Amino acid sequence: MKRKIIFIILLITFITFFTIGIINGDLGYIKAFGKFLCLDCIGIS
Amino acid sequence: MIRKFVQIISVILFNSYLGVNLSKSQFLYQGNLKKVCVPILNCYSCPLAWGSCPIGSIQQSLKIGIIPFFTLGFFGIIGLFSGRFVCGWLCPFGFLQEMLYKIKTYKMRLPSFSRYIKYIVLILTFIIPIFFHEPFFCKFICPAGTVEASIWQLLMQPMLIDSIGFFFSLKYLFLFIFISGSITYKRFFCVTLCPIGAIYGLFNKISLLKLKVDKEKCTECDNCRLNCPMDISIFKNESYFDCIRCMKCIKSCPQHAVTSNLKIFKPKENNSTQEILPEKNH
Repeated sequence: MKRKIIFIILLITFITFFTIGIINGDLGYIKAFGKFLCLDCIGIS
Repeated sequence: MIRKFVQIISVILFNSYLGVNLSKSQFLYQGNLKKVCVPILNCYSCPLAWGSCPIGSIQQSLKIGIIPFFTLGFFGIIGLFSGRFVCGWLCPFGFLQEMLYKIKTYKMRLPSFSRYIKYIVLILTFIIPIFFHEPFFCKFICPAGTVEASIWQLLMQPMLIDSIGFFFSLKYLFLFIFISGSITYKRFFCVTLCPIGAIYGLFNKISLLKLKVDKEKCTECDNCRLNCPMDISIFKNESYFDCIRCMKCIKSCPQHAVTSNLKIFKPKENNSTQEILPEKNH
């Protein structure tokens, strides 16, 4: 029962996060990073 | 066999962009799908990648002071439903490690404390971008970026070679450690360093997808651990944070003591003589 309650609370929280992200248009890298090639990822910075 | 097939399909699905055009300086996919992160470790700068890396997204967002709501929500929903299932079935990097481990050489077991290193990496992955504005994991550690992006981008854009410095050497040193570690130890990177696995692992206890061990049937023969890609004895803890839900233990248990709450993964009861022999572990 305790696990079920934690599960439901977390599910609501994450769905809220997910929705806020979509509303903000902040889905992944581009908005934060602004570039397509990540130089840090390839070891050049 | 089914899992291998799914892993191969996953590699192709996440990395099948074939629009690289050197003459037009198009070195990677730049369309709308790149705005959305994938649920696995798959470098954003890979020339074949369709989506963006969730860890990269989190770090780049934190670096500029944005809370990565979408990525955190995305991780959380997947984790709540399946725990570390995506590590076992979808992650191309996990698949690569399993292939490397097939190379016949001396095999060893990682000490149990090494399983907790990834949680230190996870904390640093969140803290360093906030306070030092550096994408710690991508910049200093991530071997996925080196394998999937660095090698190919440098081959396509030789002018980048002029900018090579200390971090480049550090990344290739990690790549060497990763390859030799993956050949010697089971899923070396997933066990010790992967921050995505660390996040999903937190949900194993409460996720909908579960494994169950019948203690009356289990003889603690440890056949499950010998066949487990993560080297786990599932009878000790059914919800262990490192279990990637690959379901190999279900097939390998000679007593059919391990079951899943997903019907498709249940063992065949009349198949009592079938036993998967453990991989050789020196």
